[in-house]
Amino acid sequence: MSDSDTDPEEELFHLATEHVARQSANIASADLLLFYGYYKQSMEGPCEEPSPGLLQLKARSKWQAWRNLDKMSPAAARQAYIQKLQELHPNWRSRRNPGWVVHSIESAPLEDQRLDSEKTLFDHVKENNLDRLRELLAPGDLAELDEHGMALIHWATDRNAVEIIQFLVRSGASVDQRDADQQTPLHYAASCGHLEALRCLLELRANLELCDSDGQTCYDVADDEQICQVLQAERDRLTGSAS
Amino acid sequence: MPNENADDQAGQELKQKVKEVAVASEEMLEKVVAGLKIQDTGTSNIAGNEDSEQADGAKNAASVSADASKQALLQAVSDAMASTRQMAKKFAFWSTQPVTKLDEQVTTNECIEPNKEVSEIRAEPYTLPGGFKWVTLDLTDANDLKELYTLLNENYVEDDDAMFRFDYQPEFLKWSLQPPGWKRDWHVGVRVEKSGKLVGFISAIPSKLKSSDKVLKVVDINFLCVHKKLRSKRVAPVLIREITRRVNLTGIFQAAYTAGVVLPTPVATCRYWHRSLNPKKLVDVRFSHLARNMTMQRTMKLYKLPDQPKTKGYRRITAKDMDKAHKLLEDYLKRFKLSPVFSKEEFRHWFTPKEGIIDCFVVADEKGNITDLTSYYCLPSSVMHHPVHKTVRAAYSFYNVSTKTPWLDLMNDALISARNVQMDVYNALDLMENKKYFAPLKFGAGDGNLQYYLYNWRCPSMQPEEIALILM
Repeated sequence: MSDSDTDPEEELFHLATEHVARQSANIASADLLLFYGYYKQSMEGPCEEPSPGLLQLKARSKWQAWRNLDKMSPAAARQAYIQKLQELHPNWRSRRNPGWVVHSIESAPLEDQRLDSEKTLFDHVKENNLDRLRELLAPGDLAELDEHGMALIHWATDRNAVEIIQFLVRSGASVDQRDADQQTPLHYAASCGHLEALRCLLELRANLELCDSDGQTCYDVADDEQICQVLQAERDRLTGSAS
Repeated sequence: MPNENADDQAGQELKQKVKEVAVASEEMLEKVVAGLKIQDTGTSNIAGNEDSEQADGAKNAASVSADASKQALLQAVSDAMASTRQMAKKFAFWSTQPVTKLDEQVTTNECIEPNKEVSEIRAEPYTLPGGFKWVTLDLTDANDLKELYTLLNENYVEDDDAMFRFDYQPEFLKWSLQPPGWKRDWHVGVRVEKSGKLVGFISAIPSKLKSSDKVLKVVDINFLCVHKKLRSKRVAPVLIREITRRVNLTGIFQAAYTAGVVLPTPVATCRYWHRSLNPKKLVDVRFSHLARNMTMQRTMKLYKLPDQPKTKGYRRITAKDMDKAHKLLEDYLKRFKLSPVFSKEEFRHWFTPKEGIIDCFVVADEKGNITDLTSYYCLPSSVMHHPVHKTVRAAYSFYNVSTKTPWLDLMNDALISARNVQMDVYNALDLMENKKYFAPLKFGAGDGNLQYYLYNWRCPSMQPEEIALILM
């Protein structure tokens, strides 16, 4: 029930900057840099300041973020700012300005946001970021287990990230890679009920009969009817073609 | 408010309000100017704030020169003025209503303005903007019910691009708007004169409410909804005035209502908590979030529940249990500062299980005594823009009583019951004794507050655990 006398677009931009300032602890550094660039561009226009010295890493990356926008107009920068926020926090406006109706959802966990440069391969897999993974993956990474006893392909399966599973296997990862509990990717797909990942692993000829350290196969840990059906059909197909 | 001059009077009140705002703005300006003097000597403080990555654009600029710093402060002044202006505008309506002021110190438990004689109450409906007319909806009529469902479904939303929207089912609306003593006159609609399209709604249902040691005849106000395209026409205040008028005419002068927005003045601020029953779906639709180091596999194990309730004697409530269960709840609710007082008929209405609307379970001992009770209502949400999932099935904790079964056992069984009818999530507010079981039963905090309000009743503000009132 409140109107404003100012330009609605500027008003929205103003609200967006306030939201980002309040939530800066929950926004990844790479995104904060983007916001910084858009902000400077919209307030001061194209960057004409000299580059900070090589050792001023932080100042330099901020300068670069601004500089990257080249001749973008302030209005376009404002729009880009709002659009970026919209992507990251789709309902940022409702939280700021609640109306009569409240539709609560679970609060996002407040976790340590890492700089892109601090992110490990595991982080990129968890975030389903195939592009970064493609840039950084080395053959030695494929069988490495993290502090949770999981390899990249286990995380990819846990997140139902089908393209990453395919990429990892093409790059040489074993489709039957064991985690610290002897679970294979199929165990993850079956227990999580990830039908897409399950189908993908089966196409990549994953072994259905391997047991984890509790002696359970992927069939034993499946909880979902559809998953059981797909596994049963695959078993039948394999035994059928064997006999 | 005395009859035909009411609209005029509202205009007068608005003018008065504008004057108050002008005074407030001057005061604020003085404060900011005082701040400016401090800031002049303290710019190093601002420049030192380097590690906040963002939004320090303006602050950095301020450190460049004193001029720029003044510029920034001028900006701050105009921001402050804008926000004062907005506040005054926002509460222009509420400042005319018998509600506690935001900064008021309250020590009493009493009405704000005295009851009126019928002759003092405006006899004819308030004036709507041109082209719109009042209607009274008939929820027993399938068409009216469908229209109300559609209006709420499309417009009773937090935000036009929210990810989730409440999907109050027609039968749910009938149940919640037609308890014992309901009046058709209180199902107030607004239609477009020409097309007949329903574009506004507000409702009241009769109830009794205990505030500390006093029991009041009240109405619960709910489902205030204005069509998106009408938001600028300020129809909501007219709807509120009109339902107040209609309720006042029956000799009721107090009301209870809840909202997300902070208005003058919440009696309590509660928060929703959520317990995942179907974590995979909730993560998929982004109702919940996986922490960086959490696997879906562990998440699913974490929220797994036994197949069947565990407590001996736990079963769905039956018609024969009603009087005993009513007594159990009645005794229990007395311990709270703000609670409903249900008649037997009302209890039967609110606690008789109806599939997909309301469910209620009791624990009966060997002698047939009802020792515990748990209940929830079902309110699905539409999921916007998801390729697979269209609906989240949500159970909302209603009233729970534990006298013999420990809270954790009782509520764990309630979770199992909800899961067994394919609910995806169990939601509860942090009122009554609910906080006692949130952590052990793996509830996570929600991101929205629900404010509780009383109309024409002044009482000290309360903690969530002193509140025992659920409005759906």
